[in-house]
Amino acid sequence: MRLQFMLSEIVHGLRRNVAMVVSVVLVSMVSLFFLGSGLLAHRQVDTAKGYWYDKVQVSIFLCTAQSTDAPSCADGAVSAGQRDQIRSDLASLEPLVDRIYYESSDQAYTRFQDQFRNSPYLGSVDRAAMPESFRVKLSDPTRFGEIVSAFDGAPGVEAVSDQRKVLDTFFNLLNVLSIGSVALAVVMLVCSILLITTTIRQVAFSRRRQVGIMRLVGASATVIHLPFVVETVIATMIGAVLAIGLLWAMVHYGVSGLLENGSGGGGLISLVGEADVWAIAPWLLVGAFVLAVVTSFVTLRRYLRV
Amino acid sequence: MIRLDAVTMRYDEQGAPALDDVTLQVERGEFGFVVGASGSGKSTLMRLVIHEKVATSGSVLVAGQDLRALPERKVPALRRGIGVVFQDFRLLENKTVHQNVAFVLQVLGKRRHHIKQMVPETLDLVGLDGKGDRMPHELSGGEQQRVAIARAVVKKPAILLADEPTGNLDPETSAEIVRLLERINKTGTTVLVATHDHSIVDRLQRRVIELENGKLVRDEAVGGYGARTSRVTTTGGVD
Repeated sequence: MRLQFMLSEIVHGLRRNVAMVVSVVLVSMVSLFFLGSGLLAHRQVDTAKGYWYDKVQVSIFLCTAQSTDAPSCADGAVSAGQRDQIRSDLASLEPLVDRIYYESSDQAYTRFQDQFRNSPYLGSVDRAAMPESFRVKLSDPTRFGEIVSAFDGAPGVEAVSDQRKVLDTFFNLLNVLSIGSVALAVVMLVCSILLITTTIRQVAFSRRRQVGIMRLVGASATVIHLPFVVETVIATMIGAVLAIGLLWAMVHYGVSGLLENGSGGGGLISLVGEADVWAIAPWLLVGAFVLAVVTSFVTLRRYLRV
Repeated sequence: MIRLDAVTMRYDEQGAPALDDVTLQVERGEFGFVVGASGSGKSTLMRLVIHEKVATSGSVLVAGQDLRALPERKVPALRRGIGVVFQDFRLLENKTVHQNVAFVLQVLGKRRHHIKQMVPETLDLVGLDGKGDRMPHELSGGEQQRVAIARAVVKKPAILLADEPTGNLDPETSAEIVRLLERINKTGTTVLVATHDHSIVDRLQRRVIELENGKLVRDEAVGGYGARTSRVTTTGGVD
């Protein structure tokens, strides 16, 4: 079949079945929006975890020139002697202390920049304000308290913290959201498949005379099926593009907007940004394409024999 | 060109067969009528030839191909060699006469200059020159059937099947349509017309194949609708 003829048939077909096309566009948009939300929630967990979350249990932040609030930092920034003392004290706690990582102020700043790349606070953070730290991996994470009591208030130590305590509640919430939106996405995908199947059968019925003539004159299965497949692909791809637009709007005006209105708190946790939407967008498009092709192919094999 | 060998066709297992042990042969370039009352098996015969249905038993050969052994992907190629015309014309109502005929060549992937040449030529052949821009509903029944015939023959099939082509037409128009089918036959196309229209069969005095309740009851080289001048033999020839 000549390309031009096929295109004109497809345009004609889309125009004649506007209501059906719109319903396929909308249902695929909603299902892909939920799927995308689930993926974004998953990425949010990864983003918030940052570099150290899965590696260590305890972080010992050392004093900077600006950390005057803590009594143990009264002498200003941590000195080389204090740092060495802390390091050797940590080493003496083996085997509870499994591994010790040292992060300099510069390294901390680089990781911060990476993790909080979507945050409006990034520009206002001074390199010198980033504390150097010891990150400690424990052989038994439940004995976290022993490390806290040993180092909290020691000279040159600003704070000892367990990031997990702060983040776990947030992660639990996100996991529920993520599972919820993926479950909704699955339900909506089933809806999309059923709707696409019904739509193709309906359209095939409305074109039964034309299809009958095509069969009769000896058109190949490809020529008969292709317009249906292409029309379905176009409709679901439009749905996918709209879903990506909605996700972008949600992140742009919802998540990022929340931060800019600065109700505080937000700055503590790095959030997903528009870049994350663009990262999942190709997968949503590929998903929509596969959904359309497989569903229409199977439907046509079953209901439109040549 | 078309050969049926002891063909039996049942649509369901309990019911009477639509075709019952039919054996016949139609040579290349022949013109034949298939006659009989409604339900005698004429349409079933046509359906078997275009491989719309597969015979329950016996073999159907079309253009040398045994349709029992024909793989599914070769069915379109078989149908490209056969043109079909129906009682109810089956034109695409939203396309013009020209577009209806061109549609066939377009779905078969023919080049544009070929279509530009073939469509007017074919419309000329069926006597519709100058009416290419009309819509089907603007045409009379006879003219619509001419469009259907043009659509069937524009791809130059070796076989033309017409299932009750004059069923919806008045006697005079019917005669014109049959003359057109004869003209197409003269170009070398094998033409098989299923009909229960006495007048056209009697007038033409061509080969007549008569079916009755699915059985072949008469097959004569020259005959009218009703006259049973000879009985069929098992080989499908004439006594």
